[in-house]
Amino acid sequence: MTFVPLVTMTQLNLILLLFSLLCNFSTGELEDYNRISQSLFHNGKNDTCTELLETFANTSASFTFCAIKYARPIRICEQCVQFFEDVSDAHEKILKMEDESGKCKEQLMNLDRLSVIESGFEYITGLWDSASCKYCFDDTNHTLSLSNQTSFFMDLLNTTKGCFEKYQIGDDVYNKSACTACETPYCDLNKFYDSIKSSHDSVCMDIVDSMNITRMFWNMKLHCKMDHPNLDVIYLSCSCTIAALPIFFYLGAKFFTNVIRIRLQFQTRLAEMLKPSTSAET
Amino acid sequence: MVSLQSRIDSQSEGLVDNEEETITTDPACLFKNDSLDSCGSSSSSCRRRAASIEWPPRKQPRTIETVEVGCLNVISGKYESLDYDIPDSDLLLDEERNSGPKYETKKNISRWVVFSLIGILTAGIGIILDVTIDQLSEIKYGTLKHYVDRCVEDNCLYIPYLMWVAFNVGFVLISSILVTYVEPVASGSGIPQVKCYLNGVKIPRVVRIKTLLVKVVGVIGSVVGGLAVGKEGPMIHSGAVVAAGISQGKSTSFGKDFNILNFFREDHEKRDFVSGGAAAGVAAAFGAPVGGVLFSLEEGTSFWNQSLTWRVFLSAMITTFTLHGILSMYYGYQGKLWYSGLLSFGKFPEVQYYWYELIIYMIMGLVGGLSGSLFNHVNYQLTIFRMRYINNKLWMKVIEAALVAAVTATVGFAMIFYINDCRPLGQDPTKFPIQVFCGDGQYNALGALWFQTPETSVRALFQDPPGSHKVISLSLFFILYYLLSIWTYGLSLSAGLFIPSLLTGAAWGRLTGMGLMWLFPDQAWVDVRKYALVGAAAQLGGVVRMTISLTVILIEATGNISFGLPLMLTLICAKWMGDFFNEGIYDIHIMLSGVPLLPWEPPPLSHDVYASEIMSHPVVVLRSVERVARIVQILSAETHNGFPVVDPGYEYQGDKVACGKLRGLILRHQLIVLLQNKIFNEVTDLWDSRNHEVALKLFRDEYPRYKHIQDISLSSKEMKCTIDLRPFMNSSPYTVIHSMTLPRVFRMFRAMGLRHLPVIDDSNQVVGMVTRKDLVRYRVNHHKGNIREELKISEKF
Repeated sequence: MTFVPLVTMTQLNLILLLFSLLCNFSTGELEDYNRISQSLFHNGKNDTCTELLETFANTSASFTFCAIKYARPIRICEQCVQFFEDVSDAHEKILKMEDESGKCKEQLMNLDRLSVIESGFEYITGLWDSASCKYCFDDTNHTLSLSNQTSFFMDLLNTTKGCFEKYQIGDDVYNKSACTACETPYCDLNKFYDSIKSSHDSVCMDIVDSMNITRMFWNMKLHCKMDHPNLDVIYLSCSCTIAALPIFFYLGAKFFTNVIRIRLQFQTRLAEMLKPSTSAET
Repeated sequence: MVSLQSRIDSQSEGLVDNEEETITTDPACLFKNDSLDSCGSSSSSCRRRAASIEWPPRKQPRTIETVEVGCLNVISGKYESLDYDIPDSDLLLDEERNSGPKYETKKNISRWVVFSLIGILTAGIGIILDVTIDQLSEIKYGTLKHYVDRCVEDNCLYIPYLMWVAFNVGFVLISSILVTYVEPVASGSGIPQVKCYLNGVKIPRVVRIKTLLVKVVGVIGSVVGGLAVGKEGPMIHSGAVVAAGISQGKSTSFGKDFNILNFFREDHEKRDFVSGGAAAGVAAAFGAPVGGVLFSLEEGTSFWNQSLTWRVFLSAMITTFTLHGILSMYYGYQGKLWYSGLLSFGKFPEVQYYWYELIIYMIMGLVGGLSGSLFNHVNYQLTIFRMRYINNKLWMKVIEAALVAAVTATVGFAMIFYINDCRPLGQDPTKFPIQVFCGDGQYNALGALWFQTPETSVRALFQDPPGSHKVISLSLFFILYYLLSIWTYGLSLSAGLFIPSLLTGAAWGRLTGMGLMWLFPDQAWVDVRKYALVGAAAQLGGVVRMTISLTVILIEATGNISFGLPLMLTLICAKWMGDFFNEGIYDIHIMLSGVPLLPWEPPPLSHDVYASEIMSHPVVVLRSVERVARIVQILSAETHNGFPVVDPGYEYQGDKVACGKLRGLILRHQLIVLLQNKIFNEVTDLWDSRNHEVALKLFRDEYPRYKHIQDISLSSKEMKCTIDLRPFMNSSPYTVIHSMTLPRVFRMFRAMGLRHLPVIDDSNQVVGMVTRKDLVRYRVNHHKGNIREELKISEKF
């Protein structure tokens, strides 16, 4: 029975020690938390960071709206470049700016597992990059302006489209004579597109898509398919000759070659030694 | 009957006997009936021998038989074993005594350095192959695309067609001429050769630098030449050559000796390095380091230990990351050691699968096994035809390769010409989309498959979104490519088999996926890409019958561990199904070339075969102090490579089964080196001046190419000298008693990596000799029931 108080004494000490440790810890965390919640909820004094957040939200919303609006046919690069620049600016500011309660980056980012800002920004830049939009523009002093190449392409495109429209004879029906009349602008457009493609690693999606659409239009709507004679005599005779050669080769090999025979080694075994040696000895 | 002794006296120099005569009239150790009586009947071993005498002697005529080339049941006599077992001679003992632990440490450190170097250099070869093939194909297909695009308008399609034929034939001729006339051992994928080497068979010239050069240039030629081939097998062979080359510190081909790494100049060390090189080759080919290690383990190395595994893994790992590092630079991602674009077959998206799909995978595995064994059978028949009717004229081999190249181009072009599988250009999925007869804004899907290297096509079939191909075009592609790859494998050029098998498999796998999509529309689990991968695995598994290494290679090459179980089940089913009909393609080719490959296990139900039946008898023995003339005579007349050494007082005219008490074993090349350096008892001053370490160096300097006995000239005075073999011979060779059964002999032989295994009787007298060919003779034929067959051995040709 005398043990009990002793034990409780040590336990008590331990608990006290633990408690004090915990308190130290939690006060530190609490301060942090207070600072953040103050800056978020009591935005009386200075609200630069929250303002920035709002700007970022608005600009990304406009970009997303624009991107989806110009999804078909794709004009994302050309139409949404302003919004993209705004989003980038807002994001950069969030990263760099600081107000009284500290850096905006620390107040807004990496605080929760949702990380809305980052994933939103990643979505936007991802879209921009996968459309290879930067190839549409010239980058002068960090402002994107439509490159000469792109505008020239668009001019050509408009000329071609204008030509097509001249021959529209009904709802989505076109006169076949467009094929000959519009061949020059169409071919120019094609040539210019091919030259862009060969000079760059990647082509801006706006251009690729408009080219593809124009080509499909030429093909499906105008039915300007060239007639191909499916019988090319030279090709046919060449391929038949070449395809027949192996048959002659193998037949020739079969009838004019002698098969090599290989000699077998005489294996010397104990059992082999028995029979001949007994017969030889006796 | 002329006794041996008298013959030596009568013919003192340059004795080259007719072998047939030697066999019939050279009873080195004649067996006589009375030896049985002298043996007594008390000991059990003698009873057993008596039993073996009653055992009906096979009726084999004494006349020399001949067979046509291309038989599965003939072992070629030209293949020898490697000397994996290090002879336990006095010289070695002295070396160890003199050098001490420091020497051992140096050797160990060098070993690690050499394994790292193997990794780096193999990666270098991989890069050379990748970049060269990439650049040359770009030129080829770029030019072709240009002409196709132009000629569709001008109606001159025969021009790009003939250009395609010319490109193919030109590149293939380079490969074929090199392989046929310069180095025939570089032909094919190289995996069978490496497999044999790792199994312990010495394939002549397989690991020479000349072979490497021919292999590398040859494979570039055949891949760029548009054949249905891949570069993966040759890469593995190249890795093996690199390993064998740099571990030796010298090059016999260039006559350059750097005087380093002398201690690695023996078959034992070299073979360990080669296993590392093969693993590095797999790592370079597929970016699969673990798969490489497992490949070395599974396909080849019959003698293996854990520390070797660790070193082999090092070289495989170094290869993978050197390759990735440098290729990242090539593709413009500087400084990255890894990015997913370098995965051989592209990064697979998160694949999901449900339990019920496993059944489909297993069925696909069975189908793969069927089509794989059909592949093997047709290729086997074709190979026999080639061996009999084409291979004996070199120029015909070259012509055949050129014809295949021309027909491949013809098939490809005909498919593009006649099948209008038009797909919208969209984001330009291929590098060289050709329009041909499609409308503007479309490309020909078949042109996309043909206008790139087969490797890229595999990647395309694995990765292209659903609906990229029509059923008819894919089925036709599958059938024609399957036939082409059967036809191509076995041509006289260096080319691998992995990629064409994967490509045909991916084609029918994708077709299966399309069928399932049609059966179960709107089901999320049907993904053609997944089925393309499974089909590829099934087809390749059915052809090569590899198991664990192939599974791991595919997992690593697609960066997809979650798909491990489906791949494994597929491969198991493919192997079982295929093994029901025939062997794997590599084994078939190994058997056809008659390489004595030791299987994993001794033939089952063979406990009734005793060492006395397996062994060769009589044995040519040497006395421990032997006359030079007799050594020269034996070396000239016999083709054996190991000679048991018996007591000095042994008389050759003995009329006993046994040939004297075994004292040791000496190898042919040791005798040659002794003769060459004239280390005779009578020339004492010469002998005294060389200490033992120098003597061991003599042997290592000559390695691996020893002189032929005919190239050594000895005066008649020297012929009368004697040699003391005792310091040089292996004084404690592994032996078996004559009553040991086949499985035991087999296991001992295989596990120890032996080359010669003397058979002794109960009084330690030599009665016979077991070598690799004696053991390999006993083979089980699974495909005709469990019948044990005995193979014949051909003469060296």
